[in-house]
Amino acid sequence: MLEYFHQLSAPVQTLIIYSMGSLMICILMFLTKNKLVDSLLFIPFIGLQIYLNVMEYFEIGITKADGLEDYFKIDHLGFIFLTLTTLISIPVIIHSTVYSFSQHESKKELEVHNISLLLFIANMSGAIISCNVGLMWAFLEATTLCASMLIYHERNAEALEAAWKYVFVCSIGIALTFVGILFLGMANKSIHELNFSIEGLKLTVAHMDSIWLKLSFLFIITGYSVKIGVVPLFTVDIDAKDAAPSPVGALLSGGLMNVGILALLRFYQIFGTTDILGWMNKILIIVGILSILLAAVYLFKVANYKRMLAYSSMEHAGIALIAIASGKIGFVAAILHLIFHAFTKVSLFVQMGQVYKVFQGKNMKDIGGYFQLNPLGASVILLGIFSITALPPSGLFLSEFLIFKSLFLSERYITASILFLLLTIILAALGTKFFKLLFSPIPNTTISYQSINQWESISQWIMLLTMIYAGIAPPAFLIDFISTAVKDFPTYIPL
Amino acid sequence: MINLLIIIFTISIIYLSVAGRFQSFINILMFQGIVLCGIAMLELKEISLANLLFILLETLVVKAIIVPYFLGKLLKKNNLTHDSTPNIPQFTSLIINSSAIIFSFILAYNLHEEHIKITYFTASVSAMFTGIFLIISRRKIITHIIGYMVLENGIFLLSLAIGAELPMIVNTGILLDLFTSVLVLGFFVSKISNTFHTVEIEKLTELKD
Amino acid sequence: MGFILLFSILIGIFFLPYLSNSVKPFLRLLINLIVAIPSFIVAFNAVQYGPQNIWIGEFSITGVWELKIDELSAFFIAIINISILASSVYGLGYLKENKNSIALSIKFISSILLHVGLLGVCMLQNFIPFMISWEVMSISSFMLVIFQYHKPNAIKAGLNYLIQMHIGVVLLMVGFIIVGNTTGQSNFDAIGLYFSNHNNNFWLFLVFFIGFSFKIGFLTLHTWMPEAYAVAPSNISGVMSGVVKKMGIYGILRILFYVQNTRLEIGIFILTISLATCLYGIINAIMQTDIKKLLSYSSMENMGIIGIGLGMAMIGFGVHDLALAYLGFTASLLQILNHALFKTSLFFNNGGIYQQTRTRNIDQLGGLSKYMPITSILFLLSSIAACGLPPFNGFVAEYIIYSGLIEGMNATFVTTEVFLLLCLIILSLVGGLAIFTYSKVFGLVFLGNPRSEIITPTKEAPLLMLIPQIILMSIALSIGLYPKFILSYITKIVDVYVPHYSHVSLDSYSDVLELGHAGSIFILIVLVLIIVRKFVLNKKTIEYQVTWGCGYETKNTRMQYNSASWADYFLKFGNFFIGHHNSFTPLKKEDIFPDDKKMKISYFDKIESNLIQPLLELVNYTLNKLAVIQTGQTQYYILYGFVFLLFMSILTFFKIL
Repeated sequence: MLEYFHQLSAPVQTLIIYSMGSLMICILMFLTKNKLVDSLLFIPFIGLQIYLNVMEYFEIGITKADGLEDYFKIDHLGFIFLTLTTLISIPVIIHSTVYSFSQHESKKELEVHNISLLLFIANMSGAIISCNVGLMWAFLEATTLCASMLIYHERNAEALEAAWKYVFVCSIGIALTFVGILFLGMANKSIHELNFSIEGLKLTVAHMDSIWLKLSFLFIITGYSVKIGVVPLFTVDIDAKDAAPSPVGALLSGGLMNVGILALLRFYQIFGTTDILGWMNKILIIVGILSILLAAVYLFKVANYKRMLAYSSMEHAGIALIAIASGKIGFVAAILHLIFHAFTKVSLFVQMGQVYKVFQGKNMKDIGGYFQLNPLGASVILLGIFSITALPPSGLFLSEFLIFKSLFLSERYITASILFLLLTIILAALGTKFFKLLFSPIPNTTISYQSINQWESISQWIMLLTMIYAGIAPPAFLIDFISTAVKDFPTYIPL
Repeated sequence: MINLLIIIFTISIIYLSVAGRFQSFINILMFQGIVLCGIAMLELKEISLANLLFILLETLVVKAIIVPYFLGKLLKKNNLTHDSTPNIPQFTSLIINSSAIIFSFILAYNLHEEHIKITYFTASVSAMFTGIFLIISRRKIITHIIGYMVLENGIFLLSLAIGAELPMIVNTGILLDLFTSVLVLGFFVSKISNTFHTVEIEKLTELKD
Repeated sequence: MGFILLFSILIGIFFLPYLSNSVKPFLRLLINLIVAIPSFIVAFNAVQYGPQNIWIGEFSITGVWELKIDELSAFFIAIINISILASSVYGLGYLKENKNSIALSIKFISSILLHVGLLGVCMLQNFIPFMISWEVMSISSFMLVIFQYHKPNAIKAGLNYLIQMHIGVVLLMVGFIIVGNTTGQSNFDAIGLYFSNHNNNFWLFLVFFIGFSFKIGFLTLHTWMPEAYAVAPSNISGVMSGVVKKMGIYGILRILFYVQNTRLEIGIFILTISLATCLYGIINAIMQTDIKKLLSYSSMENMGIIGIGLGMAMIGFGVHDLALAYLGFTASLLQILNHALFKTSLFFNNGGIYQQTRTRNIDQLGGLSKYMPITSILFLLSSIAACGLPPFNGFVAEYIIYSGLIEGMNATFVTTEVFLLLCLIILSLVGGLAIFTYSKVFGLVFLGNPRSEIITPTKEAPLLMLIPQIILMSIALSIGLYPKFILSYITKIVDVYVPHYSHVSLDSYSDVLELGHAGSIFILIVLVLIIVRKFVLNKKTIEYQVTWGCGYETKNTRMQYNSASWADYFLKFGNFFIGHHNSFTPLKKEDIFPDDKKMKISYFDKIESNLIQPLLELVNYTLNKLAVIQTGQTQYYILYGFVFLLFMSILTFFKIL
């Protein structure tokens, strides 16, 4: 068998090593009795993930052989998302391990959690590097399973309810996406064997009737909205990010959302070559504005900090969709926005985990005075909130600047005005509530609060400082890479 | 012959909107599984034997046997017989479902696609609609699962319409869906019944704003 | 060299939280000096040798980072550095008793960032670097405002400030985007390109004007001011009022430089808004009982005066009266410096009072001149400057404005003449009201007797808090007595704005020089008289009596004027501008044995209550109505998906989308 392996081309070897390696680590995690070893097994997985990432760099644009050419292919866009996923998996895994150890869980719970986390990251990577929409769909379907086990980690009533709703609505959403893909198949008139790879679809959609394309896109966006976390099926995402442990919430916000948007972007690329482009942009803008509106509404209403972060993710997903819809320089802006948002949101979620550990509660009424208790961590939140509301020098300010610029270039003035208004409202809501967390007096001075090791905030500082640096002086190679990634998109113009 | 089976399938969907007992739901699911198996057998005569056997296995075994079995076990464990009163009266839902069928027929007719068989499209869209409608209008989890299964049946029927050209991957996707429903839904529903001692959706409303 | 600077700042910021509370202010002062000295040098070079350019780098998206210092920037750099250094020295003496080391660290780090941000705004001329620097300034001043975050409305006031600043930045961003999209460039010269290509400059100017006005606090955009200044520590209020506000004026000055047409309309617009601001500000100032709020409304009046200068200048351009333009710009720039000097000094003064008495309420203070003599003298001098009376600097600026107005009335069209006349009348009214206000404050706070037990006995403020005020007021006095020095610098700036005009022929310039001489002679006479008096009284014994010791037996100190009664006469006129609550139940016929009656008068800002509050409530109401989506029931969640699909398909089908 080994000779067969060596005969395969390098790209396929990479994939086989990655998948087999991940499976083996899962089995080992299942077999070990020791909690520490279980968690240390993540290190080889991180190594595998980095290996995949690096190898894929050399594969960009190269068609794989050996029968996989319709299924796996990495391009610049996929590579950006893959690197982003890898980069945020590392702090997520670290903090998840720290979190598990501090909670004194049983071996079985830890094992289930770790295996699900590993498979979740692996499935996301698989979805990113696949170039077949059906395969991407299958990988996203698999992430539903993994995510549900991750959400159910706490094993209390709240987690159960969130996990059930997530599984159920996600399944329905994924089914709707499948219907959308089926419509694509049904509308195909020309060739016998329908090729669901992206390249193949680009060729065939040119001959399809636009009514089918529109129906298909509607079903796809409704279905994938549950993964991205936007209107209409966003509600279970909020519950999931709330009930899951904080590192998992971080991964859902910073990882799964991006993969969902990537999947949508693939369809956007495919349909962008037809004449439904204008209609697609309008739908995306409606979805985006509604998501941001609902996020603003609920950010004022809720008192639970993790839900606030979840609604904030919804808002940023909406902004990214509007960026995509406005075209021209909006594509670069959208990708930059997603990258910066991932860094900021992961930092905030992880820091929220520490807040939860100190206060044992998520409700605004019970929490306050965090600056006194954990200055380094509280400054993470301060910086994070300034960043997430896109105040300079955050990187998100740059991406939002570009988004407004592209909205003005495409003369969508009403959208821009509504966006300004909603973003100001969101700034007010987030500011009021989070400053209360940081600065109001400590609620109950009689009990002693658990102290947090200051080193736990280091990873978030690194992420936030990187993002701020990129916000002031974006590295040229990053911008060039992103520009190369999106240059085939419709109506693209260089920065 | 295929059209006859499709029409029978559609009639079973209408029956769903008036059914009240859980056992009727399960029986309808079994029935639909068998009908789909028949349709698959007749439609996909041209594809390879391995594929065909796979699809028949999937429909017959999973849809018609395994899923009803699991659901039946769940019913017995929780001593459920009747569905709770739906939010929308049964007569109204009957009217809505029938109009959905008519509407999807009109839609299919207007789409002018000779590739698509009108009956397939009508039946599958109405099945999907009925499935979603069941979920929206009923309150017990079991009914939600049944609605989901009906949705799945509709999607399967739709995929059969272009089954001759579909590669294997789509069937794998369908199987994955069923795998989800059986394993995870069964797992979670049993956990829910253990934790909450009920399978009423009304109790699962803690997470709201 | 620049990297060393940046590095040292970052090291300082990083290590500051770990130092002890008493060392922190010194480190802050040190870093401020490290930042101020090179900027002074660069500013000096700019004035001597012409505009300087310092290249930092070019990055993607954010564009070119280049420091450009011309005469205008140099002027502002000087003001910024003087104010910040004064406040740092002041801070050495201010908060000795505050033990909260985290709050102190935040305060000091924010003040360092504020300094850097302010300088950056003056020196950066590309869009995104400018906005980044602007926001660094806003955010750090916000963090400073909420320094006393344990007080209940500190965070609310701070957030109000932050959000309004954010709206201002958004408007600036819109302006920059419009310019960038049409011209393809991203530095301030592109604004000039835009203006020259478009016939109607007014609208883009308006966008920028409103964006910058949030910072300045022109009418209706001022509601953040009183609360924010009231909750911030005194030296921060001083810096914010003296410097941060002026950055808005700096922005407007830059924009005005590039405007090519519609100058008359712009001038009239600015003039109208400034007049309204002036009037509204001083009227509201009269009614305040909180010293800091009073000072902030008075700042609003001074901003109005600066705006009047700018408006005059633009009208001058519009009617081709270059003398008017010249005088207008000169007056504005001079008033910017003046206001920075005396208002900062006033806020510092108030800080000293607050530190000793723990109250800012005029109705509780009184008779402080007995306990804090130096503070009271400094307050008196600063008030005289603030009212625009000779021999201080405010007078010079106002004189130039008045002479400009009269000069403008000689010139041209009837409508402008009438307008300028109106302006002159209102300006005189405002000047009178300013004197009214400050005499009220000085009289009630420093003279008479204490109105409550709060302030007995207090001691004088620490020397470190007095020295900055003395320095600032000395500079102010020197400007008043010898304006030639500062005017020679200002003319260099104005020459850039109004080219081809020689100011030598202006009468007003020689007038102010003479007035300066007169002022010096006056002071000399006063000093001589004081010395003579002291000499004469040396041999005699002096009897001191208690204040109000005129024979009335049952006096109590609350029978003195308080702030409402002093201004009561005025209230009848000012009713239109000020809202007031008056809760008082008079004696009724049935009250045979009347119990104690209470009367409570409070004043509030009409614009805030009638304009801003309803708007916020509307937003709140709408948002609450919409918050019904997350019901907790799965059926609804699926329903939303279905409705979305259906709705979008129907819209598509009917070709609406």
